[in-house]
Amino acid sequence: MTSTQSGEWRALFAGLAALFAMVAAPSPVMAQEEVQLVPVVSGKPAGPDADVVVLCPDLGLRPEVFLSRGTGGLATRLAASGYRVYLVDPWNTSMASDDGFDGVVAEAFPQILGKVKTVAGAARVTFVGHGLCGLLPVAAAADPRGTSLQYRWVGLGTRFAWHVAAPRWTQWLQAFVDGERPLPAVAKSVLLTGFRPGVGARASSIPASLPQEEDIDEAMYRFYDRSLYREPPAGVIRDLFRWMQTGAMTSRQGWVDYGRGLDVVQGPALLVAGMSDSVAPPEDVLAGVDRLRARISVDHRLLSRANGHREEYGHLGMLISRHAARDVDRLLLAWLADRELP
Amino acid sequence: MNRLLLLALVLTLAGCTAARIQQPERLPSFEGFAKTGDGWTLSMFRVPPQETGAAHQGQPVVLVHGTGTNRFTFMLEGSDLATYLSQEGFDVWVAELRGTRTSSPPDSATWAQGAWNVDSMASQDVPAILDHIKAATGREGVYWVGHSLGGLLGYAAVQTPLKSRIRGVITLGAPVAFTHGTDAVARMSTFPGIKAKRGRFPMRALSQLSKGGLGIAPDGQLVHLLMNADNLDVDAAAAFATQGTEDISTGLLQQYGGWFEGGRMKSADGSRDWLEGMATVDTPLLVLAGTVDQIAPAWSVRPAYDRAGSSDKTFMKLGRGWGQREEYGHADLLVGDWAFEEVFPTLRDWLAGRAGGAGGGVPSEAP
Repeated sequence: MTSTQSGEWRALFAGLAALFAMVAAPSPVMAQEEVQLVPVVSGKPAGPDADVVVLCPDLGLRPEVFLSRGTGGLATRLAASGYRVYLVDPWNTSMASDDGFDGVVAEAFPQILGKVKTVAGAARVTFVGHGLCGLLPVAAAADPRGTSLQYRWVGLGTRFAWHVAAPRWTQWLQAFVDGERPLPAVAKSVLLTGFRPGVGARASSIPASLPQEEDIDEAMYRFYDRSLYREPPAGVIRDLFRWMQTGAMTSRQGWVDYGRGLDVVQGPALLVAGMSDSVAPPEDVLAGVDRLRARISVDHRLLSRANGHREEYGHLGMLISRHAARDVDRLLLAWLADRELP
Repeated sequence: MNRLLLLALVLTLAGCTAARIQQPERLPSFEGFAKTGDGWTLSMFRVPPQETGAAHQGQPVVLVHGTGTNRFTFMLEGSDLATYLSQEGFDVWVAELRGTRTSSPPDSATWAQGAWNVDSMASQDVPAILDHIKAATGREGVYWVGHSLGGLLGYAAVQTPLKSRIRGVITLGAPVAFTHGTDAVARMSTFPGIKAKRGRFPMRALSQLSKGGLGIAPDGQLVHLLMNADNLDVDAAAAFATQGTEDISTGLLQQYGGWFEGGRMKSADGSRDWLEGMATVDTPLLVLAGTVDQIAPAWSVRPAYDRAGSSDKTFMKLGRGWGQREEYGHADLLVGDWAFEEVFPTLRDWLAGRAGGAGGGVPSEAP
C-alpha cells in the first residue's frame, strides 16, 4: 500500500468515525411536541390542595435555572414553603421552533394552562415568567379565544416596550438572525442527531450566552454558560428582532397585536425590574405597569440598592445571583402570600 | 442608628450655609461675569480651544451643572470635560448658576430668602449666559451640554425663542417625568430641612462632613443615591465632595417637591409644562441616562427623548449592557472613573458630527 493510499484510508476512517460519533452521541433533549409540567418537591411534599406556582424560564434558558443556586433556587424555595411548584419550558417545543412566538402563544401556553387547570383543581394558580415568559399571559389575552383559568401572574424582567434596546442585546439578536442558514433536509436530519445543538444555529463571534453580571459568582456563571443556557428557537428570535425594529409586538402576519393584551389581561400581577437589566430595562417594564395599572391590580418592584436590595440586579441575576434568595425569593413569597385573586 | 446620626447631623447643620467666594475673578479659567435681568451676577469660566483644524474649530459649547453642584462637574482634575472638549477644538464655557458661591445676588435679602428656582434660572440665567458668550465670541449659536438641572434648563430654553441661539442640546441624567421615583428619592424628600420655607439646604456642609464616610461606607444608600460608588474611586469622590458641591435653595426644593407630588415638570405657577413642551422642540438632541442613576433613572429621563419633535434625536444609556465597563449613576456620568474614556468621546463625536456640518459620530437614532 502506498503512502498516498494509506492517507486516503486514514481520512476515510476518520470521516466514518466522526459520522459515527455524531449519530451515536447522546441526543440532547429535542424539541417536544407537548409542554410538560415538571413537579418540584423540596422536603415534605405540598398537599393536594396547596396553591400552584408555575415557573417558566426566559428564552435561552433551561427551566433548571429555577433549581440552580447554591441554596436551591426559587423553585426549591417555593416548594419548601408549601406550594405545589411546576417547571415548564414552552421554548423547547416544536411549536416554538416551527411557528415562533405565535406558536408558543397559540399552542404551547394554552397547553400549559390546560394542564395546570387539571392539576390545580380549586387551588390558586400563579404563573411566574422570567423575561419573555412573563409576556405570555399578556400575549395570550390578546387572543380572543382566551382561557377559562383564572390566575395571578408575575413577570421577572419582562419588557413591554421594544423600540430602544441595548446595543449588546441587539447584536446578540442580530447574530442569530444573520447566523442562521437554511439547511437541506438531509443535512438537517444528520445534524439533528445531536451535533447541531453543539454547533448552534449561528455563525457569529457574539457569545450565545448573556454576559456575566457583576452580582453572579464566577462558578455560577460558568454553570449557566455550560448547563443552563439553551440555544433559543430561531423563529422566536426573528420575532423579537422584528419587534425591536418596528416597536410593535405583532404576530408574523401582523394580524395580532400582542400589546393589546395589556388592555384585557386580568390580574393581579407583579412586575419586577432589575435596575441594571439591559435585556428588560426598567423603563420598558414600567411601560407595562403604567398601562396595566389603570385597569387591574399591579405591583411593581425595582431591584436596586436604592430600594434596599443588595445589588443593582441584572436579567440573570434576579434568578441566580448571590443575593437573589434574600431579595427576590422573599419578595415573591411575600407577594404570593398577600395578593388574592379578585 | 445611622438614620439618627444623620438626622442629628443635619439638624446641627441647619442654618449653617456656605459662604460666598468674594473674588471669583481670581479663580483659574475665570472669564467674566454674566449679568441677569433681575440683578444676579453669574461667574463664567472659559477653556479656549486648541488649534485642531477641525471643521468645528472655535465652536462655542456651554457646560451647565446640576442642582447642588458647580463647575467642578466639568472641571474636576482627572475628569475634566471642559479641557477634553477644548483639546478637540471647541471653545468651552462653563457657567455657574445663581446660588453657587461664585454668584452674587442683587441684595443680601435675596440670598437669605433662597427663593430662586428653575423658573428664574430658565428665564434669567440662561439668556444671560447666552448673551455673555455671544458678546465674548461674536458667535450666535452654541451647543448646550447640561447635567441634571443643567439639562432641564436646556430643554426649557429650546421651548422659547432662545432656541434660535442653541444649535444642539446634550443632557446627562436630566429627569423630566416624576411618576415613579425610587424609594431612595422618596426617603430623601422626607429629609429634615428639605421642606424649609426659606434659606438654603446645607448640602455643602453635609457633603464636607460625609465625605469621610465615603471611605468607611462607600456602599451606603446615600452614596448610591448620588453616584455608583463602584464607578468612582473614593479619592475622586472625596475631591468632588470638597470642591463640587453647593447649597440648594429652598425655592428649588419646593419646586422639585411639586414635581414629585404632581408627576409633572412644571413652572412654579403651574402654567407651563416643560415635558409637554418637548413636542415643540426641533433642536438636535442627545439624551443620556445612567443605568443605575437613582436621581434620574432612565424612565424619568427618556420621556424627553420620546416626546421631542426633533428629527435628529438620540437616546443612550450608559452601563454595561450598553457597552461600558461599569454601570453609571448620577454624578459619575461626568466624574466617574471611566467617564474620560467612555462618556467624553460620545459627547465629542456627537458635537463634532453636528458642529462641523458633516455627518458621522454618534448615530442619530438609537441604538
